[in-house]
Amino acid sequence: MTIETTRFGTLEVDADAVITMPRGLIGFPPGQRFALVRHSPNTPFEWLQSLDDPALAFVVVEPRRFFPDYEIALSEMEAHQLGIASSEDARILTTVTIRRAPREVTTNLLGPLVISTSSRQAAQIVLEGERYTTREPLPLAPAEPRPTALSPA
Amino acid sequence: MLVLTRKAGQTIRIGDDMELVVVEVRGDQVRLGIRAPRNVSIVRGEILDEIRRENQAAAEAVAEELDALDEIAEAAALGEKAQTK
Repeated sequence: MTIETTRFGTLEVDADAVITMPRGLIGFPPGQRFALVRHSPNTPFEWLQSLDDPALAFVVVEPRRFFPDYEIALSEMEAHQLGIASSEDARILTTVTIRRAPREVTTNLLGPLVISTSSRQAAQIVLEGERYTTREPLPLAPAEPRPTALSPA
Repeated sequence: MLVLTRKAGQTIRIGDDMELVVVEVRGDQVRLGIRAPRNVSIVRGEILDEIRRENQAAAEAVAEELDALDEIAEAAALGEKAQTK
């Protein structure tokens, strides 16, 4: 299918790869559909592009590429709602914020996105506790490069 | 907003299946217990506000950020090379 975006013009997206977020990202409209677009072959960054709002896109990354110990606890209810039976069914991404002055690249480890690889449903979940922040500085060199992490969604 | 005055140990029932318990009042802090069905999400308000703000900041990534991303990726690639040496 073809989608229109303000950042990238017209994009071709595999209909099977469309992700729906029934509850939306926190602070954004519910029910939006998204597609993941790899920014370029050699970066760990992807764009989570809305199919319903051409102007809405987030930079996302697999947090474990930078924080190997990062883990989330998904409640049974959340796992059930997304159709996730085991951790292999889930892909975890976090949004990246780039601030210009002062230059700061951070990722939101407190509110990760969980995507079910089977149902293609996703949700932004809120991690309780004090372990993670919404503005965790992204170490520029991944702590543990894993070639498999570069495979498409 | 409905405002009620309660003492430690007292409760407030919300609907058929939710209960708020005032566990302890000490100075300017109140400890609350919450009984609710498992499908009810309970999150401290300021955490939700913080994530909402961060989502909004993240959504502002514009075309020029693409270049910044490439620089970062390059730096990351250099870092990987340095690690494998």
